[in-house]
Amino acid sequence: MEYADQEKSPEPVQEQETKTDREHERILNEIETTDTAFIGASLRAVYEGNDHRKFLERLENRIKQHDRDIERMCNFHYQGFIESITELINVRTDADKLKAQTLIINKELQESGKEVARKSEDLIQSRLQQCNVASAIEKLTVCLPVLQMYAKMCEQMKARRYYSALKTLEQLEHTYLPRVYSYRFCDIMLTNIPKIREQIKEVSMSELKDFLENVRKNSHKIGMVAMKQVEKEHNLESPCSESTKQANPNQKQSTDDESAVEADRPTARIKPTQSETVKNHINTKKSKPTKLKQESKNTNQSASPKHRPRINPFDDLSDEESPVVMDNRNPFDEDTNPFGSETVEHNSNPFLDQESSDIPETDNSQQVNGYNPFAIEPLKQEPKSLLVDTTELLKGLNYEDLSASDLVDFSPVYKCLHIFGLVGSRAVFESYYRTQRKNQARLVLQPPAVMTDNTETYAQYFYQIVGFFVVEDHVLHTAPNLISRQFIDDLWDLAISKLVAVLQADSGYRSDAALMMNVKNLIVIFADTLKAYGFSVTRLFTLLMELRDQYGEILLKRWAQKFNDVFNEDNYTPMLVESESQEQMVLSSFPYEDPNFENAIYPKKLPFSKFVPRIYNEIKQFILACLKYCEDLHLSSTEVDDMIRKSTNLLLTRTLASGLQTLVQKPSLGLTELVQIIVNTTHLENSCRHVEEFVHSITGVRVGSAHSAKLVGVSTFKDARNGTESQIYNKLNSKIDEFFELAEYDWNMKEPRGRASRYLLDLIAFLQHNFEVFTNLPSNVAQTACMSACRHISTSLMELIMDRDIKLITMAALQQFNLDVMQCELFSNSEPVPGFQDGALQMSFVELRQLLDLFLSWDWSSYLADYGSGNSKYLRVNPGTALNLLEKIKEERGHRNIFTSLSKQEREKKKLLETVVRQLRGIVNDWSLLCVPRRKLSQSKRGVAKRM
Amino acid sequence: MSSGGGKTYDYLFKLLLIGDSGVGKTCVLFRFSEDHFNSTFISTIGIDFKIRTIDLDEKKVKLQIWDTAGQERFRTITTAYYRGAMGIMLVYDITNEKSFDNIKNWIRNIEEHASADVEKMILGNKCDMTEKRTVSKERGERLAIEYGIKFMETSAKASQNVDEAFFTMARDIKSKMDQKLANVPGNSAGNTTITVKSGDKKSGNLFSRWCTLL
Repeated sequence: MEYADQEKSPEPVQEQETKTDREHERILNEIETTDTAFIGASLRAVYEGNDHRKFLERLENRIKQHDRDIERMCNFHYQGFIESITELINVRTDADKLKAQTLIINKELQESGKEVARKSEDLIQSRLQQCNVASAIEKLTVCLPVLQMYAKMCEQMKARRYYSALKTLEQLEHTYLPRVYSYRFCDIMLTNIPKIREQIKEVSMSELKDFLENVRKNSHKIGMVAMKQVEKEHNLESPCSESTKQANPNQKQSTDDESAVEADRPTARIKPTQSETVKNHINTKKSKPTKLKQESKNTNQSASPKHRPRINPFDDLSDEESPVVMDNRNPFDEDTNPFGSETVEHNSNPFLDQESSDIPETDNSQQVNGYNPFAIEPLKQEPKSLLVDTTELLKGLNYEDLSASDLVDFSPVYKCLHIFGLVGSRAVFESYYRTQRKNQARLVLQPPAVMTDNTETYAQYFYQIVGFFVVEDHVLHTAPNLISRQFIDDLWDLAISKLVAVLQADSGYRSDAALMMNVKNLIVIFADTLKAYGFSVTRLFTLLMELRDQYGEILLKRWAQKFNDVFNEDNYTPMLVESESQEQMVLSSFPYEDPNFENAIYPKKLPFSKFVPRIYNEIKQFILACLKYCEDLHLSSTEVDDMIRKSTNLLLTRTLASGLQTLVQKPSLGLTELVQIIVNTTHLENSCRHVEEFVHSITGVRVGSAHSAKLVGVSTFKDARNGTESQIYNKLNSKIDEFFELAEYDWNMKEPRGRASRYLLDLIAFLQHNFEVFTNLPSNVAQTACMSACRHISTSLMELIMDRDIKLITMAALQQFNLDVMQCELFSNSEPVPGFQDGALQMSFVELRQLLDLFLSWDWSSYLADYGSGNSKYLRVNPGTALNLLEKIKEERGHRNIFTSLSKQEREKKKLLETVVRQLRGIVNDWSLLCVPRRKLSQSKRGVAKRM
Repeated sequence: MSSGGGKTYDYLFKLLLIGDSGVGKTCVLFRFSEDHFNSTFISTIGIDFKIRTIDLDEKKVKLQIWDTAGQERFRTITTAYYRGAMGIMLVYDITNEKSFDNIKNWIRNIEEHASADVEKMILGNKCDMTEKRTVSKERGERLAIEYGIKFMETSAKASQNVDEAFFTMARDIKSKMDQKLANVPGNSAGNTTITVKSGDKKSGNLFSRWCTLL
């Protein structure tokens, strides 16, 4: 076109022409550039234009131009075309080669592709699997906590930690299970949960029952420990305990060991005395009971484990617990991991189980039980493990550090309490526990059938009760609100009234002081122990005061026996002291002061026999025994003093006095013994003030202070001595009687023998020798004895001669009798016992003497004349006696006169005799009328005499 | 012609127990008179006596037995009783050699102070204590034979031979007396102050009684 333009440009001269030229040019361009379909418009333009020829020309030009262009172009590219074709032919072969090659490669590729395809298919499969696994893990991670919880619970169940099991169960139920509920095992779990709860309840209940049984079994041990602690405290308070402590070297050894162990430890606290720890123990028990457990735990832990491996079973349990839990906590542990190979074998895999759960439901529970961890395992009861072997425990231990929880595992109670609290039946449990314990209390309070046997039964009884209340106290303080103070106080009221009743009823049968003392000590310790636990024990102390009187009675009985033994064992011989040491010994046991004794040379002779120091010491022992009862009774010194004095006075006035009385009245007792008893009682009497001193030294209460009764020993011994003295007189008299039984008079004898009768000589000798021998008899007693003997002889002689059975007495017999009386007078004159007033002893025989004088001198006139007057020679001759004797003599005379003729003298004599008899009768009759005043009587007598 | 009130016996024999202190004279006597035993040793002071009536050949025999103190210090008192005694028991303790040896001295005492015809007997007391025995029965018997007197082992504690000893002694005295009595009617004893009245149904007894007044 550019070309065309250049062609037209030379035609500008002609305007018209150019115009048409341009028009043609434009149409040609249009034809050249547009499609043939749209060529119509161009054609129309040509048609409408003018100059078609020009146009055709132009068209022709144009065609020519194009043909030239084409030709030129073809010429220009021909060589290249040829070359290209040639080249193309060359390329064609190469292309064929390439094609073959490609085919081979393709084939090869097809081959290898197949593998790849398979691999990729595998890959896809694997991918899918992976995906599945991932989702399984995801699901499992959700389920696993549930399973873990369940496993944990199972473990806890196995480990008997039911409370935590219950907690876990709850957690499981409320937190974990809701997250996953679509699984079958969850259903099983859900159905099992209440069952497990129920079971836990049952088990803990049965554990509680075991506990109750255990507590019942062990409460006496607890009580014993508690009481021993208090007792120990008591002992440490009193200085005498040192000796008891030393008496038990084993115990001391062990405490030493302990203290050594304590000292070894660097953190050892400053060693407190045992009593302090005990005290603290008790105090803390009372004030901070919750802390107590902690404390005891601490002490146990701090104590050397070698020495006491199993002191606190409670603590032990908890100590053991933790490692076990640690071990089992890992759910992937072989035993518990459900995925573990072993468990698969054991069929405990829950997935396997799900398969097996195709088995009908009914079978499930039974069959699965053994294997299914979700099933409720029947919990085996091992009550043995619950029971702490307390006996073994006690053997190797001191009592000091033990507390109630050391002896009994309280965990069941707490467990039960919590468990029942968790399951919401706490009230049921409370009432159950309370009724059980109430019943136990009744059982405990039931006294053993035979209490009187020995202390041990009492101790057991008390231990049981103490144990019961210690346990209750412990429960009260450690298990909040399980029992109330009110409940325990009610029980205590019940217990104390029962106990007091039992002891009162029982005390009537006791007769052994030692037992009584032991019982008293037990009661005191019992009371103090329970007091420390905050119970009111005033009634017990009242009871103790009641028992005191009884104890006093028993003591009195026992001392009566002791006194009796002393009396029986004594040799009633003055004690001989052979050496200074012996003297020291005797004088230390009995206060005796005598300058003569001190200055004497060995062997020294004490005036009294062994009986004196023994009785003296028995009295002291008695006082100490009384005092012993007062110990720990919290009495004031005046009360103690009052009691001791009262008891001692009873001992002296009742026991000792009656003992002495019985002693001196023993028929087998000889004069020797009686005399010695007199000496002994004198010395005992003197020792009374020392007894008084002794009481004072004990109680510190002075005699004479407002309410102290004076001891009445002096009067006791005085009475005893009086009794003994009269016994001596009786004894002597009975000996005299024995002699008189041997007396034989021939009242018909014609001629006196000229000497006193044998029996009388023996009697006098016997008396003489005895008075000679008993130099230790107090002189007044000896005098009285001698006097009484003489009087008795005199009376006996008088009785002999006045015997109604003797009808006739010859003058010769009377003379013989006179000889005997003279022998007696001789004896009385010989001063058998020194110290008599002149003639006092002889007075005994005066009546006999006057009577005999009257008869032997036949001095009736002066007798009758002086009768009644104060200066009569025959003042003491009773007219009745005289008459009695005269009639016997008269008979003799009359009798004799039958054979001889009566001389005047004889007749007068007989007449006189008859007159005398008559007059005497008169006097006797007057005498028998007694109402006659003495003066009148004497007048009438004088009248009689005048008539003679 | 009756003498004093109810007479309770036919014979009265006075016996004497001698021997060392502690051999058991009092116990032997106590056993015989009261049939009792007291184990505590209470030494006799001075002199004491017991009376027991026994039946011997249907006769009532009253034994007045004098118990003497063995202790030396009472010797003067006790020897005074030798004279009146009709029978003397010499007691020793079979567990005490010394007391046995002293029997000889006691016999010498008797010879010195007692009447010549006094009946004697040796008693080895405490024969129940066999474990402590130091004097054999044979020795006792030999000694008795040596002096020509009777011998017995006794035990006051076990009540062995006590009654037998006294009965034997009483029987011996009685037979001796009966024998004498048989000899008497012919020649009345010079030193008796009493003549036996024929017609007194109790004359024999009376005689025996007065015999004690030797």
